[in-house]
Amino acid sequence: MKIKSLIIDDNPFIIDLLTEQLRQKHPTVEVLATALSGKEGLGKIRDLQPDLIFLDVELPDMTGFEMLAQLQDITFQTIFITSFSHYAIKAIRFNALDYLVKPIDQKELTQALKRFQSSHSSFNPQQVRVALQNLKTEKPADQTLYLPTQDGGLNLVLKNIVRIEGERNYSYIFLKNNSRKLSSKTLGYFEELLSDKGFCRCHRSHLVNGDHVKMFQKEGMLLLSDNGIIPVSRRKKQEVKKWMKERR
Amino acid sequence: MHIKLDRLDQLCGKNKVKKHQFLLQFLELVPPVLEQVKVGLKNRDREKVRKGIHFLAPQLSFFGISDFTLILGQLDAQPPASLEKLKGTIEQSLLKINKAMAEVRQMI
Repeated sequence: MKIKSLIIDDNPFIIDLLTEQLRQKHPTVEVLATALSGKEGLGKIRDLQPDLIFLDVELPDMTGFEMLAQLQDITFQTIFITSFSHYAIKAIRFNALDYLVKPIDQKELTQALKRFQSSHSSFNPQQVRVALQNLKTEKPADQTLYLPTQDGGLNLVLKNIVRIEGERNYSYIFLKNNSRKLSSKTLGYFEELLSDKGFCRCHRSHLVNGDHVKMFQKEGMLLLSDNGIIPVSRRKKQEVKKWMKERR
Repeated sequence: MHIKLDRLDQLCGKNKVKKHQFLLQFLELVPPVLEQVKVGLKNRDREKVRKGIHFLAPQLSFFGISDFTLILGQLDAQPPASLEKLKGTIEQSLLKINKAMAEVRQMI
């Protein structure tokens, strides 16, 4: 069965490159149309009802996110296309959305299409909706972290996460309601996503949410809101103290 | 040579027409945006420079010139590098891209 797709990017080179790559290696993906702006893209989405869109993050008239926000219902899956250094990459990763870096690498494209074909049809639109909501939410504590799991996905509001503990290649997320969730992501992954959202890596194995730190104890430990006590690395003591001071 | 055709060759294989189309497109798209970058530099218009570099970086990178990708990384970094600091690097890249365009003109 053919996958109906649209490419929305203001750069004709990217459109031609991606079209050619799809034609050669992924003939089941049919490019129904292309668009050079957000406005044009919206019209083509409404007219053509694609299964998949390749969407540039930075369009001349709006961002890719702003374009999606104008749609009442998102019935297709989205693969973002962006420059490697783009500031939006963090937002895309935070929301566990799929993206390709320009100029698109054939292997990366194949992997992204495999993920598209293996995911549940409602999975990606749901993530996109969470991402759009997050972009409207000013306070990081109220933002939602979307974690893909075997059963679909988990939405975790940041203020409900007390801390995250790393165990080699996976992590435990400890929540305010005293439950914990297992994630296949490493602690480094969470540190990268959450370090500018009020979280601090206080120890090789621990990432804590500043909103849940009650006090820095003399012994070099952090007392948390769930009464958990977390060690602070000797070399991180000054950094953590400074972080706590700045949060006041 | 400033231009590298490895990725283009890989994409087009023996299809000379397709290869020619991509090279022509290079000559169509790059010069006007380079001009925009130059004007932006002259007027110290950071956003204009960033937009031009952002637009061209992927295409240039595909043709083996990664200078704009590196500059874009510095422009979008936190904290971002100032235009003054990057001016010399950008001007050097512009010269390199001009040479690459001359090479493409000779090829087609």
